[in-house]
Amino acid sequence: MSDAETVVRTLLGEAGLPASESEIATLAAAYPALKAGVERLYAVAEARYESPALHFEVSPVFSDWG
Amino acid sequence: MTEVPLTIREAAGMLRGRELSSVELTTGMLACADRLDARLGTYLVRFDEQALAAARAADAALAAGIDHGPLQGIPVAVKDILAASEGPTTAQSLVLDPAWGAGRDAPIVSRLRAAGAVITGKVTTMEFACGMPDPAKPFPIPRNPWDTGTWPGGSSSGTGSGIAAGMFLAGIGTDTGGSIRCPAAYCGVSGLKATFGRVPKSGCTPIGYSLDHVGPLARSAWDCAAMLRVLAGHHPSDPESADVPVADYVRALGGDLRGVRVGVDRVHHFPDQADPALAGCFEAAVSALEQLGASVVEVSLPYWDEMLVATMLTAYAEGLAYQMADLRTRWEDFFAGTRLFAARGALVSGADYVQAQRVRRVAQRALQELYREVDLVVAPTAGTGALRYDDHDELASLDTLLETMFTGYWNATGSPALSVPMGFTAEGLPLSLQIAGRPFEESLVLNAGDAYQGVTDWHLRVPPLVSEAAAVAVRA
Repeated sequence: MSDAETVVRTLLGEAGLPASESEIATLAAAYPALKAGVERLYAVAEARYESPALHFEVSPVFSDWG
Repeated sequence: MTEVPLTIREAAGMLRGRELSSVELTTGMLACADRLDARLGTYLVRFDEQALAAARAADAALAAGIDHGPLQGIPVAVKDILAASEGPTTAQSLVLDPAWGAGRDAPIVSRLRAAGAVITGKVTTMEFACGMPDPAKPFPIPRNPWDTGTWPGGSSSGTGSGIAAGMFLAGIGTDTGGSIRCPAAYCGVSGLKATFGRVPKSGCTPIGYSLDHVGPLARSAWDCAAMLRVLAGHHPSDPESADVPVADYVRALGGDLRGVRVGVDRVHHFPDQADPALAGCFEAAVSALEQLGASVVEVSLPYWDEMLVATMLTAYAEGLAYQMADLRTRWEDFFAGTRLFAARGALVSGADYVQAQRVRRVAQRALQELYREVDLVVAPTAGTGALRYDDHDELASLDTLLETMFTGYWNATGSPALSVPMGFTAEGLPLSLQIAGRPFEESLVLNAGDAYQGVTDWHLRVPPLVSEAAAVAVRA
């Protein structure tokens, strides 16, 4: 079993997602590229002191639609 | 019978000139759906009775001198992840509770009705607007009118195919990573992802809360402007809805591009697998913009690769949060592609998600700097024509699609982006130009698209399948 497959199997299991063996294999094959992309985000030096594009409202307006 | 018009602009003029009634227009477009839908998989459900009632009301109002604007009496379809009061929303899924949104209109559907639009039905998507088509599930496989062996794009598949096929003049799509612009590109029509927050998305099932956009597809930029004029505007039910004044996007159109600085990104949009016709079509489009008065500047979009990662990582994580409970208990009920899409959200951490949001801010900052030098950025929407189904009606993987679809960058940054047709591959499949601008500057983006379409006719081309079916109907 590859390292990627071990990681994918573990994380899906922890999340409670009942993926099949073929789905685990598909996700494991794509995992190194996904991980490399994530690492690329941490390599952006300009983000070191940047705030995230998240917005928290302390007193939100709740309004239904329709 | 009068020939059915191709655009809202043309139809609106004919309706007001009494050359055509909305009932005739709607009847003609429903007849087109009768002829073609079994081959194209566009509709999930039609509202013929209600549509014809709305058409009669639109005609009566116009006859009484009541004019709600260019959408009055125009057949419009809605992607089936948005609620409409005529029936349940499926999200093309076995999983969504039929009670969700039942009997209610999403705010943008209400706005369309108030403008006099004729809602003809709900059209195909991918499940919850993500993943890929799944022939194992009991829903139509959407097909492209330009070649039924190809995909019309997604996830607003039915909206794109139905406009290209003449089943309705405009439709509502949604766009999380390109789901308006991809079907617009593959089907040879126009599609606008407006600024994030410009169009309220309440009453729409989500994928990526911070990436989702609701917006129009239609044949032309003018038609998209008419649609956006009605769809745009703050609504208190959507926490991300922007309280920013809405322009009269149609009135803002007109004429040349003198004084407009257009950035051209050739760096990120011509991969090895690009169609051989792509570069020539794109250069011709850039030349047309120059002839309209624009000055062209070479640019390289900042943090391109990082924004593609951020878009997908964010969509995976936000999508998984939305679907987690159902995925744990009803895994097999989801489309295969939806399962693989959402499961990737379990492979990234909370810190990874937050880092993606930090880098989005970095890219927005850099893009603001770029927009000091240029007013618009143009590039191909996609590197190829429509993807081909294999013998089992399956597509290549999501990763293959992402390698040739150049749309996700603008979801991560939230900027407006319009896709318009710019030519064809040697196989006769449409290719598309993408025009992006500063946040809330949809008028400038639409004006560039409209000016381009004033000197080209790619957006008015009709698939041979449609012409042939209409000719057969006339002979019968």
